[in-house]
Amino acid sequence: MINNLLNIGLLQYSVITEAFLALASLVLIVIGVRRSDKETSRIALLAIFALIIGLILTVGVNSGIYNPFEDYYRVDLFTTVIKSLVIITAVISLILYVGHLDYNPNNSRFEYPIIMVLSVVGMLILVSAKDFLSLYMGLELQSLAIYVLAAINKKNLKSTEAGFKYFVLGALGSAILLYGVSLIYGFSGTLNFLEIQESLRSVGQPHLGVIIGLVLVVIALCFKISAVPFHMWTPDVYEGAPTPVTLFMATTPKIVGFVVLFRVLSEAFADYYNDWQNMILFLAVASLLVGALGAVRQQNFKRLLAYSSINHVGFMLLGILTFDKIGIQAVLLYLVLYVTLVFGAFAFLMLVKQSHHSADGADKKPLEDISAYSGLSETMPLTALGMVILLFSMSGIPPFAGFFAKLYIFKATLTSEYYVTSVLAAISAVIAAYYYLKIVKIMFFDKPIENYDKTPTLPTRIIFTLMVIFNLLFFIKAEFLFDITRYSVDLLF
Amino acid sequence: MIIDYPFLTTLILLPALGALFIFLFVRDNSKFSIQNMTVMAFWTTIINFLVSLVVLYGFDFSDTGFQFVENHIWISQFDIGYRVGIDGISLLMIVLTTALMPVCILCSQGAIKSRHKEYFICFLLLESFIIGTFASTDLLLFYLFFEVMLIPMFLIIGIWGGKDRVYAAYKFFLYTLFGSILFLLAIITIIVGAKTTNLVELYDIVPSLFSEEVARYLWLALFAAFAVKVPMWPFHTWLPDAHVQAPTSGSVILAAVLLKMGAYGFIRFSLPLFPEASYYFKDLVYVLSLIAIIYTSIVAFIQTDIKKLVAYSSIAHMGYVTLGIFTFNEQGMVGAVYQMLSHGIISGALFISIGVIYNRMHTRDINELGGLASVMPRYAALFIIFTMGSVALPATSGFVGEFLVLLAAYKVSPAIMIFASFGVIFGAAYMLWLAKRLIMGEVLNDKIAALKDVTNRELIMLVPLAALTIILGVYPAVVIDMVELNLLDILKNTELLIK
Repeated sequence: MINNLLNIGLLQYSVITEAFLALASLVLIVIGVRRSDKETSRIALLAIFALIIGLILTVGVNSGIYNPFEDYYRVDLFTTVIKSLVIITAVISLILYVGHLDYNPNNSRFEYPIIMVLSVVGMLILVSAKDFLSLYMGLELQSLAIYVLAAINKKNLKSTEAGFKYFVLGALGSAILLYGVSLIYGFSGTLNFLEIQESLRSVGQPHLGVIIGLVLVVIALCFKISAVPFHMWTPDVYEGAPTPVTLFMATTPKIVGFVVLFRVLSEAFADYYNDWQNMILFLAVASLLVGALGAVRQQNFKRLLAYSSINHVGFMLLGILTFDKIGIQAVLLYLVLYVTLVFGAFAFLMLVKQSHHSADGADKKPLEDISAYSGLSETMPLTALGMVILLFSMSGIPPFAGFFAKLYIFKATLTSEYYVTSVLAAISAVIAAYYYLKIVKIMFFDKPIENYDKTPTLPTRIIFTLMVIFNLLFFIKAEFLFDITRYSVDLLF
Repeated sequence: MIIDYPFLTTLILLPALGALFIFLFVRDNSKFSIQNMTVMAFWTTIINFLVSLVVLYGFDFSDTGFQFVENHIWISQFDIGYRVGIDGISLLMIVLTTALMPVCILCSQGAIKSRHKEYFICFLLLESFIIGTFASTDLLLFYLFFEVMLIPMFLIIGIWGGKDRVYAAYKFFLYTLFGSILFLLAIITIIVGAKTTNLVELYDIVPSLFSEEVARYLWLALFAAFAVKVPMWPFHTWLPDAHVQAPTSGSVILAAVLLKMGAYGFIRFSLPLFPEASYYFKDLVYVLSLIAIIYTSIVAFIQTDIKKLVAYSSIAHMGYVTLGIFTFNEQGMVGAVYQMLSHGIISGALFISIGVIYNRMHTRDINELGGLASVMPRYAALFIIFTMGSVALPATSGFVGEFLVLLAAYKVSPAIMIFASFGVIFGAAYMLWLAKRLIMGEVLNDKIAALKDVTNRELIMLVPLAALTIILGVYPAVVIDMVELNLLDILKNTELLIK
């Protein structure tokens, strides 16, 4: 009896982070409505504080494997690692948002940090989901929050358009997911991942309906991670949404999307490996090539980053494709390094601002057209140098961090003997290098044309510097991250 | 080894530390700072040269294994390590690099007109990476240095280059990146099979690890990286562009050292790791080398830009190197390595000589130059020495390498020898013609008549190189003894494995 109670107690502790953050966001709303929008940065700081407590709770609770709520939910080392990553990236996004507020005070809305915390709660649920119901719940909470964030600049036409576009396509994705889930439920009689596997195994021959359900679920998840051919919204939404939202969208939900995709494929449909393998192969190769070729002609920095992220998604899908320890470790590693690169690139975007706008009191806009960085290496040498390091890291030139991500992915694909695919991926990396070099060229080889605003926005600068240093010096202590990813993946197989 | 001090790490890190020092302590590009930076960079490279001489002194030439070995595990999951060590061949290349670097720093004085701070940082980093490449005895570490070298070179061509510098920099970067990313795939395939990147172990494991077919694909992947770097025909088109656009010092280091990396890769990796595939593809290499020798010689004829002419001649000379390596006999290998060294010195010196003229005349067009002998006698004398070296006149270093390679080619097939000899004739023809138009003849215009002869600084750069050209031509044994044992060792293992 006592033992039972103790168990229940422990089990409920395992969702303490989610509970705490949901509660914290409610408290923040109460605080927020009583203050004016001018104090958004204070709310943001409180939200950061709440997230950090959430991080401590997440790491503190990690002492075993729990399956609370009748197997709807799970907590283990892998989810703990992913959740920590989610919270850390959300904190960084918020810090960058505070930096953004410094020079864009007119756009501040106190709801922003709160909605972001709610979205984080959704993602935490998603990471722990062990059942299609909890998965859907988490996914919707996460997505709805981000729709609102994308459109939060309600006076800006592009932001509204981005929010709407994202919402329509996202809702479509959710509908497809639900339809797929209903098919799977119809043929297996359960929504729990592991039970689905058992149930389908007992049936024997795979039924076409299940396969269709599987395809629909994968399509819906590919919407979320913006894999080709479900990527169309990405460049538009990246461009239209306010920069702090874009960088949040480009990082944390991607991590979660990959984890969920992997969970669904590995637990519910591990036996169907031969069926989904070709699908993932196609998605990966298409993402690699479209991501590489699409960016070549882009002039807008955010659109360029959108295509570059599609290319990176292709690489990560290759890791899922191999479906073994080294492959999943590679995906995890790639996600971590990719996130640092995206944060660095967006921090750069926010750091370099036009100065002549500030004279008439209007908002100082970050420069989005890449030709505006002309000669930056002479006007802002250190910032340009940092960006060069990030760009070479993105294109996978050693010894920067991005190289190791690609090294692990290639190790995985070549271990599984995907030779032609690896060569295609390598070619896409060379094409991608071309447009990263284009930015290097603009910054270093062209004549300086703009006067930039050099007033420091401290939070942005700190994040930028941290990301650059991380990418530059990663190789010295690379083992650290390799070990963490390896241990957390060891549990899964 | 008696001395445990990490000499190789010192060699690799010293220039990088110099770069860091300049990065941290130089604030502006005032005249005073420029002077300080030049002195700083110059002495860094000189000290590095002295360290490399110490290594040369401590090196045991009777031992064929790697020496000055340092071994630290880096990524234990794949057994990748920071492993450095040198044998005779890499020692030769390292000394060549450290010797040419101070010369490069000297010849950038006056030629570089903007952003000196970045320039010296790039150059010193480049030296670190080059030495690292030659000193690596770990497959992945080699790749790392091989690839990261692209960044400073890209910037050197792109920032301080000529009119079409951007195009040339891109072409250089993307060509090389494409080759080396295939190399990376091959490396990872080797890691998957062998579970280590330690070269000493790989020499034992890899030759028997893969099936004949896989080994051939892997050889081709390695070939892609090295053939672009050498460069072999038809992957050579980046080289003339890069040379013409790069500043003088960039051309020097590109021709003298970076091109050797491809040939070095063949000797260090392709041959010992995939002996059977190397033997299988030897005819391919012969054909490409012969085309390079004959075709680029003909192309060199019609060039009016001196730099482009020398660039094409470089491709032809590197053709002898690849030809020599794949003859699979002693003379060929020794000749190839000798040619690498000799070409490094001569082409470097030729590019410096062109820079000397360019700094004064701001043109490299042969038609606008002529009769330099009467206004610049000392320059003319030095230029003739380098031309003769390039022509492979006996008693210059160029002769030894080409002669040995031709000898080796004759052993393989007289036809190859005959075709390769055409290259010598063409080479003599275009180089002598160049010398005739440039040095001899009438003084064309007043601008030339007003030219001043070489300064002391330029003499300091050129005279040692001229002396080396002749010394190495008269007494080749000094270098051959350094590399012969290692090459014989590689050859013996390769032959054993082919059987």
